[in-house]
Amino acid sequence: MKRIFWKKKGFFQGLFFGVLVLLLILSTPSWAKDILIGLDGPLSGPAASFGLDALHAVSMAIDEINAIGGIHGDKLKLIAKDSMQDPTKARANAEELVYKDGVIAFFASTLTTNNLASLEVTTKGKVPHIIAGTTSDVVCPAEPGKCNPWVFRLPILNSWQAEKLAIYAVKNLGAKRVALMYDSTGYGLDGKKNLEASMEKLGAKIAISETFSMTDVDFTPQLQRILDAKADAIITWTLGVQVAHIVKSMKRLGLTLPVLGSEAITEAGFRRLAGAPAEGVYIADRMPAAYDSKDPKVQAFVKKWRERTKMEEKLAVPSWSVTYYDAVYWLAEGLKKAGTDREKLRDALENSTFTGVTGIQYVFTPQKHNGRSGPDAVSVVQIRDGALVTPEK
Amino acid sequence: MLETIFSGLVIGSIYALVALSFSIIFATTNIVNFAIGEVVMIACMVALTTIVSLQWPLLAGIFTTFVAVLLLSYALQMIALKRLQRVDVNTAFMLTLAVGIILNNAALLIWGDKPFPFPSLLGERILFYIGRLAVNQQGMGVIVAAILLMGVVDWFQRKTLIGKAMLATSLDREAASAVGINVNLIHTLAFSISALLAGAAAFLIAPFTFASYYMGMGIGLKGFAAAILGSLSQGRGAIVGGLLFGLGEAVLSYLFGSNARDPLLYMAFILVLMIRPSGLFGVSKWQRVA
Repeated sequence: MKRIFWKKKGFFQGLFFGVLVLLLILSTPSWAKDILIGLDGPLSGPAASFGLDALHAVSMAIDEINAIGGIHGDKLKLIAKDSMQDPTKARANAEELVYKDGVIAFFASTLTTNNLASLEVTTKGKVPHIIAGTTSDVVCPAEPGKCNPWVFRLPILNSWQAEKLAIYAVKNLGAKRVALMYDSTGYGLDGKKNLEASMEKLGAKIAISETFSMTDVDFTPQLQRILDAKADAIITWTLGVQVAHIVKSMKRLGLTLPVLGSEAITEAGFRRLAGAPAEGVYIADRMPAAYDSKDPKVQAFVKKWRERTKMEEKLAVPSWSVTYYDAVYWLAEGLKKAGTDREKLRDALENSTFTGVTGIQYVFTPQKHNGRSGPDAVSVVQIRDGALVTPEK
Repeated sequence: MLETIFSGLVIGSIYALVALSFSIIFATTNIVNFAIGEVVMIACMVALTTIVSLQWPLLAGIFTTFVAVLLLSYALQMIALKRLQRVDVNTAFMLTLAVGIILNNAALLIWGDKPFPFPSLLGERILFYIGRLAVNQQGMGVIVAAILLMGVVDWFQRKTLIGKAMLATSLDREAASAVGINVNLIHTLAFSISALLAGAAAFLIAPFTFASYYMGMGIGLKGFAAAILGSLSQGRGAIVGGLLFGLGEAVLSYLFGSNARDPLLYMAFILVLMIRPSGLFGVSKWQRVA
């Protein structure tokens, strides 16, 4: 008699294995691969705001690129790791990202020591090491050919800021006797060196240099000496907290000299701490002011950023976030041209020209792994009404 | 120069308050309470949270701050003293140092690393000018409040019975105990007064320094140095030490530049100690070692 087919010997076993094989095939999407991008930064702890600014920018750019088709259909995927302020963690994160996850590019921490720690790993592992945050000259020197071939840097440099500030004080503000105020940390001393060199290049006079420690709160003595020296402008090279103290002390003394500072004080904390005395301060920045930009593309970007991060209106967008955002798009162009082979990608990146969302031009050549050009890449912005705007002069 | 002197006196008043805090505890218990700087910091942060973040009424915030500070100092006293009645003072102050570090890190975890602006509770209206320097209510308030507080403590110590008991304990603990003074109570009193002074210092200085987890370290260290300069065991000496320290910082910075300020200041400090090891106003105490 005819046996019902499902009672035949071995039917269910066959069915079972057939389904299993089908599931296996279905579970590995072989028609679209994710392109992995690694990011290391301070995502928690004291420096978290910088790390999060970077993370938001990179995520935003990746989401946008994926939404319009990714890289020839393949989606970008971000793997972000937290190294806080610990260089050993940064190194460990880099090793995981390079060897375990196999990322095709690595965004370094905004903190220089962590940056350097991860750089050893990424360059040995032959992964493009992208610096989009820090302005320190150390990691990728501007001299031709001095930068490691796997390292790429997009922001401006401290030495360029110093030169621009010196030029601005002397040429735009007409200062004849400039006073320097720098802190006693490596950052401050480095700034003093750069500023002195720049002033000498201009043939201008430094009326007096005053230093201070990061724990000083009252600057009456230093400002008195600056008054006595008949200075007509003050260039500061320190972080926001100290500049806040300086401008508050100036207010108490009724001093109305123009004050200029390095990019570090574009950070909102300076304005929050200083309050009204921060008005009028000039700051070196890596891009022209976004808040009052007349460029509709810039305004659209700022609007998108604020919607995504709920940032206050006056703060527009942090400059370094713009660099991270630009860096992702620049990387994407490189990927579209060269594919995911890291050597080919690196070659493409070091022969690229890219225009960022705010109109900034980045130009890379084999000899020049710094995307920006020099002191001309530095813009000067001014604090008016709590926002960073284009100065009148 | 006048402006510099005045601002030096303002900072000096704060150092004086902190120096007095150190001095009161040291005089009565022979312990240096290294956590005082951090107590000032905690007072600041609690005040900030209650008054600014939670928007409590001013008095409620101030009250909470002082309660917090008193509780903290009681805990410190328990840790440093009660369990170690016979242990030597070095261990005790190591413990205060440890507590200070814990407080510092706890503050970092709770409030983060960014400094916060602290409201000028005494007001910002400009009262008068010294040369170019605009003296506002807060600035004047610091000096006036500091003088008042130190005056009250001084009066308390010399004119009230309990205060005199404190002085007696600081001169000779065994003898004080022998005449029936409750030494434990005196110790608690010393820690409490010290804590209240630290709390007051917090409200006075925070508008200048901003409130941050690291603000206590500098103040604590300088207050301690000032106390040593003046006299660690004599309250009045500590106060003068604080004022001198503040003045010295400002004046030296003005005359010789900020680079030279710290080396000169501490060289002068060392010189004073070489000539008068117990501080400018200190009295040498003979101590029995066996």
